[in-house]
This record gives sequence, C-alpha cells and structure tokens, in this order.
Amino acid sequence: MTGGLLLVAMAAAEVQRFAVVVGNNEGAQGDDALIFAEQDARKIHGVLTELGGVSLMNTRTLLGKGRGDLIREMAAMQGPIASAKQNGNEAVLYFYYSGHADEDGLHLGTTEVAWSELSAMLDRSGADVRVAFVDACQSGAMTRRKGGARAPGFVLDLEERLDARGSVVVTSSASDEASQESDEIGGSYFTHFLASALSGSADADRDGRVTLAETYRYVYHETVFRTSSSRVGTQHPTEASNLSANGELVLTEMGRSGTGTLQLPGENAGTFAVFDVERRMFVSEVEVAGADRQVALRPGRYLVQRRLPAHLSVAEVQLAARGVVRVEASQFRRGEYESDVAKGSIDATIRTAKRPKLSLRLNVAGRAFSDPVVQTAYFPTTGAMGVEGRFDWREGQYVTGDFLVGSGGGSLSIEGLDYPVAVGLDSTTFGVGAGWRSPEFIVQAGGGVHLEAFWLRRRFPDAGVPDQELFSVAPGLAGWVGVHPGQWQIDLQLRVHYLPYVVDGRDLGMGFSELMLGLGYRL
Amino acid sequence: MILLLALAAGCGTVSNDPFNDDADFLAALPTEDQQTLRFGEDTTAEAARGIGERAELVELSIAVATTVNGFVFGVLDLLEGVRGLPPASRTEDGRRWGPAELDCNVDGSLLMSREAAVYDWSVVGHQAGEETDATVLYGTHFGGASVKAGDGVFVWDHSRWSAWCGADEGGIVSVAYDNREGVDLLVSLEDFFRSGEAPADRDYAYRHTDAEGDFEYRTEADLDDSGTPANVEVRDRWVPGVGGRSDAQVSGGRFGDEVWVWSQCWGATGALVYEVDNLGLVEEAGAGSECVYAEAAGLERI
Repeated sequence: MTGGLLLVAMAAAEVQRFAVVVGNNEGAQGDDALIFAEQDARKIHGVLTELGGVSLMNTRTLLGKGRGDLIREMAAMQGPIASAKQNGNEAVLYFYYSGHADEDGLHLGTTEVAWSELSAMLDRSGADVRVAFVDACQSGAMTRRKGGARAPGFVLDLEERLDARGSVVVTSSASDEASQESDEIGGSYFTHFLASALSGSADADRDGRVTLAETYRYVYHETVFRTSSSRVGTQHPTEASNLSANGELVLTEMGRSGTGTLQLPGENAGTFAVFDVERRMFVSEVEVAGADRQVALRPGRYLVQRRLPAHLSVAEVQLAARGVVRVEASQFRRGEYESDVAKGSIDATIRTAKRPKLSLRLNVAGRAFSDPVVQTAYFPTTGAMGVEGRFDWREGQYVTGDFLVGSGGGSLSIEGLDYPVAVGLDSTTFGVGAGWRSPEFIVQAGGGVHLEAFWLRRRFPDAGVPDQELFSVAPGLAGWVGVHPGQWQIDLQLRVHYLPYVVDGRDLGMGFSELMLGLGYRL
Repeated sequence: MILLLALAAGCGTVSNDPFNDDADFLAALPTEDQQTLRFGEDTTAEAARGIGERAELVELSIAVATTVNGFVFGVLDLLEGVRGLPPASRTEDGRRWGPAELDCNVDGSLLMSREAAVYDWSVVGHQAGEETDATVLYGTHFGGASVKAGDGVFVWDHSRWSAWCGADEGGIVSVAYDNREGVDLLVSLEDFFRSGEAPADRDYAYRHTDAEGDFEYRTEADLDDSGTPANVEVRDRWVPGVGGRSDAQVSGGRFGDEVWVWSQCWGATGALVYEVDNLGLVEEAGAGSECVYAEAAGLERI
C-alpha cells in the first residue's frame, strides 16, 4: 500500500528537459573556418525539440556567438531549471556544441571556454542530469579529464522519474583526433550520425525509443566506420559518465505529437539517406537489413536516397504530423548524381559558407598632404567621416569599398603675403581596396592596395576668389591594425596615396595620407 | 588604362595664382627696408674732435641720412598698412585696397594696375565733403629678375597731405630707386618746407652695394662753428668694413665766394684717420696714406 502511494506521487512529478545548443563556424587563430558547424547545431536543435521532449521555451541556441554569450545563456538557464525543481520536477540539461576546440577547450570564434569551465557551468546548472554532446576536434580531452565510465543499461522513459543524478559527456573524437566535416553528407560525421540516431536509426530494439546507450553505440559505430577511410584518419567518439542511475536515459521517442514516421520496409535492404528538402540537410541515415525501420521526422518533404555505384535511387515523400509513410521499393526512381537535389543543396550551402563575410565600419579620419608646402599653401589638414565595407574571404583576402566626406577650414600661408588666407576645404572620396589580413584573432592586421577617387573644393570666404575644385584618382597603399572582440572591430588604418597632379608647377606626387579610426561590426 | 591614367592626372581649377598675384602687386610697392639710407649705422667711434674720434663729416652725414630716412619712412608708412590686408577687389591686372580711413580723416584707397612687368600705383583719398579723390602718393615700379628686384619712382604730394591735415607745410618729395643690385636712391625735395621754414629744394643721392657706398648731398651747416651757416656739399665714399672718405665744399655764409674744401678720411668705426683743408681752418692730422680713397671727389649725381 505504501509503495503504491509512492508510485502515484512520483508519477505526478515531471521530467523537464532543457537544451543549450551552440554552433560556431569560426575558430581561433590558425583554425580553418568550418562550413557546417552552425547548420549541425540547427539540426540537433530540431531533433531535440521535435523528438527529445525539449520545449522551444527551454532551448537556447547560440550560432556564431562567443564566450560571453555562452556564459550568459548558461547562467540564464539556471533560473528555469531551479523553478522546475522547486515545483517538484526533475531536470535534464542537454548541451550540444559544434565548432572548433583543442585540448584546452572550446574555440568560440576568437574567444575560448576551457573544458573545466564548461564542466563547471554544466554542474552549476542545477539539472539533475547533464548530457553533453561535443562535436569538435580533440573533444575527447573533456571526457579524458572527467575520467568516467559507461553507465548501466536501464531504460527511463521521457516522462518517467529519472531516479538518476550526474552527467554524461559524449564527444566526437578522442583527445588526439580531429573531427571531420564532409561535403558529401553536408555536415560533420558525428552530428550526422547523432541526428540519425536520435531520429530513430539507433533504435536497435525497435521499441520506438532511442536511449543514450543506443545513441552512443550507433554514433560510435557509424562514425568510426565512415571515417576509417578518410584522409584525416579514423575518428573515435568517446563517452564518459558519472551518472548514478537505475535505468537508461531515453533521449528521443518516435511518434511524438508534431512528428511523422517514415517506414522503410525490411525487404528493401540497403543504406538510405533522408534529406530534408526544406531545410536542405540530411537528417538521417538508416541501415535496413531484413526488418522494417522507422525514422521520426517533423512534417515536411523528404528525399529518401539510396546511393548505387552508377546512379541514385530516390523516393520523394511528403510527411504529415502523426502521419506514417511507408516507402515501398516501387516508389524509388532512378536519379542521376549530376542532378542530385541534395548534393546541389549542400553545394549551395558550401558556396554560401565560403562567401566572403561583410563587415561595416564607421571611420573618422584626418587627411594631410605630405608636402609641407602643399599643406601650408594649398590644402591644410582636415577631418572627414565615412563608412567602409569590407568583404573578408576565409583564406585571408579582403576587398574594401569606402567613402569619406569631410569639411573643414584653415588658413593658407602664401609666400609674399603678410596675412593668412582663410580657406574652407570640402572633400568627398570614394575608394576601393584589396589586400591580405592576418588570421582571425582578437588582434588583427592587414595591408594592401587602395585606389581613391576624390573631389576637393577650396572656398575662400574672405578673399573674393571663386571656389576651386580638384578631381583625381590616387593609387596608394593601406595598412591597418585592429582589435576584433567577436563581431565588433576597432581598427586604426593608415592610407598613403600617390597623386600625380601638378598645381602651379608644383608636383603633388608625394600625395596625401589618411589616418582613420574605425568602429566596425561584422554581419 | 588610358582612362585611369587620365583620371589620375586629375583635373580642376586649383591654383594659388590669385594670391601669388596679390603677392606680386605687393612686391611692386616700395618698402622701408629697401629705401633706407644706411650710412654710418656701423660706426662706433666716440663723437669728439681729433684723430681716433668720430669724423665730424661722418656725423653730419649720419644726421642728414636720418632726416632723409624720416621723410621717406613717413611716406611709406601709408603703404605699410595695406600689407596685412587682402585686396578689396581684383581684376586680372589690377588690385584695389580700401577705401579705409587714414590719418587726418582721409578715406583712402590704394589702386594698382599692371602691364607686363610695369606696375603703376597711387594712393588716392578724400575727406568728407570732397566729391572726388585726390592723389597724394603715386609711383611706377619696373620689375626686374623678380618683381621686387626692380626699379621705380614714387612721388609724395606733401602739400596735398598737409592741406588735409591742416598743417603749414608743403612741397613735393620724389624718390627714384633701383633695387636690382644693392640700394640706389635719388631723393629730391622740391619747394619743401616744414612749419616756419622757407621752401627749398634738396637732393640726396645714395648708393650702397656689398663692395662700396656713396652718398652725396647739399645742405646748410655751420661747420666752422662761426655761428653763420654756409652752403655745404658733401660726398661720402666708403668700403664697408674698411673705412671711407668725406669731402666737403663749403661756400656762402662767411666764406662769401671763397670755397673751403675740407676732407676727412675715417676707418671702419668712423674714427678719423686723416684730415686736411685748403684754408688751414683745421690742422692737418694723421697720415694721408691711411685714406681708403686717396683723391678728393665732388658731387656727381645731383
């Protein structure tokens, strides 16, 4: 009798699930920018919210953000978790990261978060169970430090009492290994198989629920298998756990409201990749061998592909919420690799990722002519303001476009005149430049060539002399050094221009220089 | 590429020519430092009588030079005021400064015109109630290797100016100058008088290069301390930093038709090294071999 009351009381409590999903294509100095890290984060965000019981309200997704944002969001998650626990509920926190890392920690763009810091943040979250998936090079350093062991294999359903405490960390590679992205699958191997696992591919016992153990087994096997022939080397996911549990943790459940089920009949054996046409990404990979397999997906249009040596075999399906679509062998049509929609979409994603990044900056400049006589007798030093746009390629090249407008005054000192001649100076310049910059780091520098078309006007308010104008194009050099904390950029730039123009028999070839301070933001 | 080069060459109207022209016009005006008689400025000998003391004729010439400089500077002061101001109007070959209020309530203007390297200029003005401008100072400047290094002449109507100022003075002062090599001035006063004086003509010729100086003039002075001024003609010649010679011819006054010729040679500091006269009014002193110029000389330019 007493035991029965306890079960009722326990059933009244809920398990609330929270998630912090982080993706960052940018890394620290020397890291090649990734293409799919942020897309992978979006993929996992989708799986967790659609199949994993994590509400959108309890999810924080950080794409391309830095250390400060992560610390803020992790701290912000503590409130809802504490609130859930005060109401008698239990909390599970999922943490997913896709991006660069090294043996010391995560590289969130140019900022870093040490493995120990990340562990501390997870511990401080207050969640009863913390599950971290870290898809990054040398991410095994995190599990190695934790020194945990595999958890026992019991099953705890999504809505059941956890009866578990502790944390689990699954990493994409060992502490001395690289984690790899693949243009073929449009993402990292680890996340590709993690998403496949969570959507049902890992459901080995066909009970419609994917547990942590099933997930790890599936991801480990598939990742090792797929990367064993790669040029970079085999990638071995790791797992560490200090979970004290009386059962296994269910991560996702098929047939949840808002999702549909794709059935692949056992008689049509092979490996099938499922491509989400709307989100332009592979969302699952399913091995069919003798028995039917099910994959839970959000409603939408999907391509189910089977890759054959000479061609593709493709079935297109439309999946509705709570709908079940069985993809029979007869639905598959021959498709050519050249017209593969999935490949085209991935290529488009790659092209987009490889596009140069645009940053905009507001510049405040001082412009001075190099020849002292020109400066004192023709064009006194003036100030100017303007904007500059810079496209940065991943490989370090950049091009710029800018304009400056200036207006100022001063006085000219003319030989033979005892009085200064008051002069006003207006200017408008348009410039283009190209150059190379140092690798992404908090302090950056760059240099290159710059071509400036400029218009100058001299006004003589007291002298009764008509306004004078000068238009020319001046080639030159530009160099800059800046501090780039995250998206923001503060640059000090010096430009020197040659000016092949003659005024009153004086060659202005020494040209002019512009020293400017810029505040920029990378879009 | 051709277009780019063309653009790079630039186009526009930027030029300081209007202001350089202003400077040229101003350079055509005589300046005080160009019109100064620098006689005896470097002499340091004590003023007393005798060998080794400052020569009396040097003292006389310094006094005369100071007076002439006073005339000239007084005239040129009128021009100095415009140098710190931009012209009020410009044409391609003309400038106008003013009108501005001058001394003695005169509204004056400086007008300048140019034809080739010849600059004509005049200071005109009027007082309240006068309908037309009158010219009080005018001149012509001929540019040389530069505008400034040229020659010219300017004339001051002292009668006109004195009338505006209500002063009992008058006459004409004209200055012919040549700045092409050193300083060469010919200053003439015609019917010139100050308050209480009788109108008189005076001429002064001054020439100064790095190698030689020459100053000649006529004046009235009591050189023999007789209490009666006589007519004096003086010719000073000198080599800068070495010494010089002054020759005076005195007539009239107590000399009547007789001419007293008095010569003094002096060293770099103006100190007397030799003197002699024809009438024995002074005792011959020093050695004639000390003279920079061995022979006496009379007036040649005036």
